[in-house]
Amino acid sequence: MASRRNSASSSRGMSTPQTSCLLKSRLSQRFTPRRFTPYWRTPQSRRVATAVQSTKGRRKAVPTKSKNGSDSSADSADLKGFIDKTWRVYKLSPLYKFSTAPKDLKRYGQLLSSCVEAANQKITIVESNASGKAFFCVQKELQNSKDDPAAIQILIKGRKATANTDSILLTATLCGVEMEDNLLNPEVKEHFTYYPILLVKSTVALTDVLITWLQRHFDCKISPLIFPPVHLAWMIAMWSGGLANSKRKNKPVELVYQVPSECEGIKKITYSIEADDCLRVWNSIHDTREDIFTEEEMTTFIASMEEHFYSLFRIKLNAMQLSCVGTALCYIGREGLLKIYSAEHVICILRHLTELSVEHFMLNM
Amino acid sequence: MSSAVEDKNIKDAIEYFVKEEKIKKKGNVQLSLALKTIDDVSRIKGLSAEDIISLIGVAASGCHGNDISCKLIKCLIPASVFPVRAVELAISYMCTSIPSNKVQAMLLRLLIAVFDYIEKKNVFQKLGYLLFYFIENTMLTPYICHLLSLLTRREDVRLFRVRRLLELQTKLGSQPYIIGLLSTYKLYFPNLVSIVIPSTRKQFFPTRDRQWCSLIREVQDQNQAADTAHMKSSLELSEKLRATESSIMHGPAKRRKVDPIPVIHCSSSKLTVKLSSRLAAMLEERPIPFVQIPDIGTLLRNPVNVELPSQIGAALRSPLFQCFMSYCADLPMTCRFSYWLQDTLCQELLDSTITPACFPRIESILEKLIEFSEFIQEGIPVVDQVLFLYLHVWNGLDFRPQVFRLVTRCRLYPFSVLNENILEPLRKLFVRTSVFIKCQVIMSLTQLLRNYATVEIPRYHQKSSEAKPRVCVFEDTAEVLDPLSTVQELIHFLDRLCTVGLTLENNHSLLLHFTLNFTEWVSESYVRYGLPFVYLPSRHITKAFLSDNALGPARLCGVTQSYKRNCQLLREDISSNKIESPHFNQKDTVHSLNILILDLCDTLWRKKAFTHGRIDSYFYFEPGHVDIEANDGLSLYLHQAFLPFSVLFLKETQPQENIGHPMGIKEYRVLFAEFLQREHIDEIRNFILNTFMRYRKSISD
Repeated sequence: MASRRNSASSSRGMSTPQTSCLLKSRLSQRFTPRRFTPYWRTPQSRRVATAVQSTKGRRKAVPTKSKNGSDSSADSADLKGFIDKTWRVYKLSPLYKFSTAPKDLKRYGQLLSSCVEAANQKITIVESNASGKAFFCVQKELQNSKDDPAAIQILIKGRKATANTDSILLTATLCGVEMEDNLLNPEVKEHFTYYPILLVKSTVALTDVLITWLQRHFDCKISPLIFPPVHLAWMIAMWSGGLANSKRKNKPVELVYQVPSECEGIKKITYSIEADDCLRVWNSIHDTREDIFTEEEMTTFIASMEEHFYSLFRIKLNAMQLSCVGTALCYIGREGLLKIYSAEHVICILRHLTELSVEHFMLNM
Repeated sequence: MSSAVEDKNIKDAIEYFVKEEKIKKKGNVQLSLALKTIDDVSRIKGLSAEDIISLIGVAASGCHGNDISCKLIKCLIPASVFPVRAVELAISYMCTSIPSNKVQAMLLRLLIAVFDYIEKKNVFQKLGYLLFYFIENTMLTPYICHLLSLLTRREDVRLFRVRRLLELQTKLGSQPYIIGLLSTYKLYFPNLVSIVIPSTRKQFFPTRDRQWCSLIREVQDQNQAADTAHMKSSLELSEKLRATESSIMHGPAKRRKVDPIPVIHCSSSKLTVKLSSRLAAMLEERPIPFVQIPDIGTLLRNPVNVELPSQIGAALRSPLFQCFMSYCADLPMTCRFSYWLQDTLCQELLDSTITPACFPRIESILEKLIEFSEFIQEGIPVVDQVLFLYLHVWNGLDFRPQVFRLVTRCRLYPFSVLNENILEPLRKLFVRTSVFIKCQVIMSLTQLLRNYATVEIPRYHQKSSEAKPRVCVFEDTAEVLDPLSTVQELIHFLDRLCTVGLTLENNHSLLLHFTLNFTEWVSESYVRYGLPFVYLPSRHITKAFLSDNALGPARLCGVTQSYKRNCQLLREDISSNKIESPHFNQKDTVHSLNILILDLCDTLWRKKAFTHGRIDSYFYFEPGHVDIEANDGLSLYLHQAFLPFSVLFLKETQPQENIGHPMGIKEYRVLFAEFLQREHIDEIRNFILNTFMRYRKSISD
C-alpha cells in the first residue's frame, strides 16, 4: 500500500490512497485493461455546461435543445429561487408509494406540519411557539424531459418571535433532471418514485426533521451526496468555461485545497484565478465546438492549474485534497454544499448532480 | 338479615332516591339510612344491573346535589357486570350541561374503575369518543385521557385529535396523561405522532381510586359465579397492549439516533386511515399491523392480512419479520429492502469519514446482516455489490471476520466478475499479510465453494429448469452463466493460491492444514456434492507429504483415497449414461491420479522412492543424482513424520535395553500400520488396504 502511495504522489495524484489509486489509474488506464476506481466507474467524458445536447454522450439524446436555448430567459426567471442560496445536497433511494396527486401532497403537508409541531415541543426549532406549517407543491420548471419525475418543492413556513409575518423556515426540492427511463426494475416501477437528489436549505435541526419524516414515510434512505476530489476536479474543469458567452463580470474561479494534518498551522489553501485567465486556459485545452468534455482534457486542465501554482510558490497542490471548488456558475463543497450563482445554469448543474447520484444508485443494477 | 329483607331494603332505598322530588339534606334520617343501605349492600355483594341503571340516572342528573350524587356514584359497584345502558346514560348526561364538573369527573372515575367489567365494550368504544370534546376542560382532562387511552381503537386515531392534544400540551405544559394518550395513538400510528415518549415514565395514569378499584375487584371475586369469559379476554387485551407499550417505550430511544437500522413500527406505508380502510375496519377486515403480532403462530394464522412495517429495513432487527420475509416475500418488499440496504451500507462502509468510534455500530449492522443472510440461506445481491466496491478499498483489518463471512455468502457470478471483484482484492491481501490472514482467506474461499456446491448451484438449476416463480427471497438479475466452470476456475484459483502461500510461508503447518481442508473438499466434489468433474491438485500436494507432521502424509493418503472413489463413481456414472461431463478428461485424470497413488506406494511401502523409473513421478530424479540408499528414507517407518511413532512402536515391542533401529520395522510393516491406526492415524492403513494389498494380490494371482 505504502509503496503505491509514494509512487502515486511522486508521479501525479492526491494525498489519500483512494484518490491516488484513482488518479493513477486514470493516467495509466491506457496501459492496463483493469481500472481500480474505488467506488464506482466514472465515465470517460461528460457534457459541458454550455453545450447543447448531443447524441454522442453517454446518455440518450433528450430533446432539451429548445428549452435550453430559446426559452432560456423564461426558464431562468422561474429558476431564480435556486440561486444565491446555500443548499445541502442529499441523495435518496427510491421513495415507496409516493404520489404527486394534489390531494396527497396536501395530506403530506398536514402530516409534516404535525411532525414539525411535535419536534417543536421537544426542542425549539421554530424560534417562537408558533408552529411551522408545511406545504408540498409541484415545481414544473425543473421537469426537463419526459422521463423526469415531477419535481416537488417542500416549504415550511413559520412566524418568528420578532416578525409579524410568516417567513420561510425551510426550502427543499426533490428532483431529478434528465434522467434515464430504465433506472428502476420495470416490475416494481409503479410502487416507487425515484428522485436522485434532494436540495435543502434550512437549519440542521429542521433538516433532520424533514429527513427523518421522509425516511419513515416513504421507506427510503437519505444520505449526504459527498463529492470526492475527482468529482470536484471534473466540475471545475467542465464549468470554468461555462461563462464563455455570458457578458457580466464573472466571479473568480476558486479551488480550495485541504492541507494534510501533518502540516501544522495551515489548514487550507485557497487558490483563486481570474475567470478570464481561466477561460483562456480552458479554450486552449478544449475545442469550443465540441460539447463533450473528455477525461483527458479534465486531467490536463487540473494539471496545468496545479503546475502554475507550483511554478509560483513551489507547493505541490496535487498532493492535497480538493475540498471546495467555485466557478461563476456555482460553488460546491465536498460535504454536499452547493450555491448556485447563475440562473441559466441551474438545470445544467442539477443535471450533473443527478448524474452523480444516479452513478451511486447504478451499483444496484 | 335474610336476603329477602335485604332485597326489600335496597329496593326501598333506591325507590327513595328515584321517587323523591326534593331531598332535605340536613338531619334527614331517611336519607342517611338509604345511603347506608346502598353502601352496605354494594360493598358486600354489589348491585344488580337494574339497580345500577336506576341509580346512575339519579346520580348523573345531579338532581339531589353534588354530594349525594358523588356518594351514590361511589356505591355503584357491579355485582357481576356493569350494564352498558348505565354507560350510555352516564355519557348522555355528561353531554348535557346538567351535572356539575365534579359529578362529571366522578362519573369518569367510575367508568375507569369499572372498565374491565363493562358488558358490551364495543358499544362503549363507539360512544367513548364523544368525551373527546370535554378534553379542554382542565378538571376532566386527566380522566378523559385515561379513559380514552383504554378505549382507543385504530380508527379513532385521527390527525385533528393529535393536533388538538399537541395544542393542549403547549397550553398546559407536558402532562403525563396527555403523553399517555399520545403514546397510545403512537402505538397505532407512529407517523402521526412524532413526539418522543420519554422512556423513564412508566405510569402515565396513576390511579387515585386504588381503594375503590380494589373494592370492586373484591366484590367481583366473591361473585365468581358470574360468567367472566368476556372480562378475561378484555383483561388479556389490556395486558397485551401494556406489554407492547412498554416494549416500545423501552425501545432504543437513544440508540436510534446513531443506529441506522430503523425500529419496527406498525404504521403502514399508507399514511392515514382512508375512508375505505375505515369501512374495512368496520367490517373487521383490517390488516394487522406487524408490531402487534406477538409470535410466529399468529403470523402463520393469517399471513395475508399482515400490514408491513413502514420501514422494511427494520427486518434486520426482528427475527419474526425475517421469518415473514422468507415466507412470503414479494418483489416490492425485497426492492424496498435492497434500496435501503444499499444506501445504508454505502454510507457506513464507503464513506471516507468513518472513525473508529463508528466501528461497533457498523460491526453490529454487519453481524445482523450476516445473521439474516444465514437465516434465509442465500446471499443478498446488493450486499455483494457493495462488498465488491468495499474490497477494493479495504485495508484488510476493519471488520475482517464479518467481511470474510459475507464473502462466503456470495452469489454465483461468471468467474471473470468474481475474479475481478472478490478474488483479486483478496489475492492482494493474501500475498502481503501474515500467515493467519492467509489461512482465513483460504478458509473463507473454501466455504464459498461449499456454499456454491450446496446452495447456489442447486438453486441455479432449479431456477433455470422449472421456471418456478420464486426460488429465493432476493431475485438476482437472471444471468446466464455456467456454474460449473465458475466453480472449476475458483478451485483452480484457490489451488494456485495455496501453492503461492505455502511457498511464501515456508510450508507453515497451519496453512498446510487449511490447504488440506480445501483439497479434501475438492476430492469429494462428485461423491458428496454431485459436481461432475475431478480436479487434481497441483504439485504443492507433495509439500503435505514431506511435512514433518504425521497428519500431512496421512491426510494425503486419505485425500488420494477419496479422489479414487470420486473418479470411480464418476466413471461408472458416465459409462452408464447417468450424467454427462464435458469437463471430465478421463484419461488424463486417471493417469495423474495413478501417478500419485504409485508414488505414495513406492515411497511409503515399496522402498522404491527414487528407483521406480517412472519419469512423470513427483519424485523423479536423474539416475545418479540420488543415492540408492535414500530409497528407504521416505518409508513409513523412516519418514520424518513417523519416526516418533516408530520409536514408540519399538519401545513397546522390543526389550527395553535394546530397542533397535527403526529400520528393523521393515519386515513388520503391516503390524506398524495397525499400530498407527491405534494411534488414530487411520488413513495410512486404509490406503494400504485398499490399494496395495489388492495390488499385491493381483500380482500374486
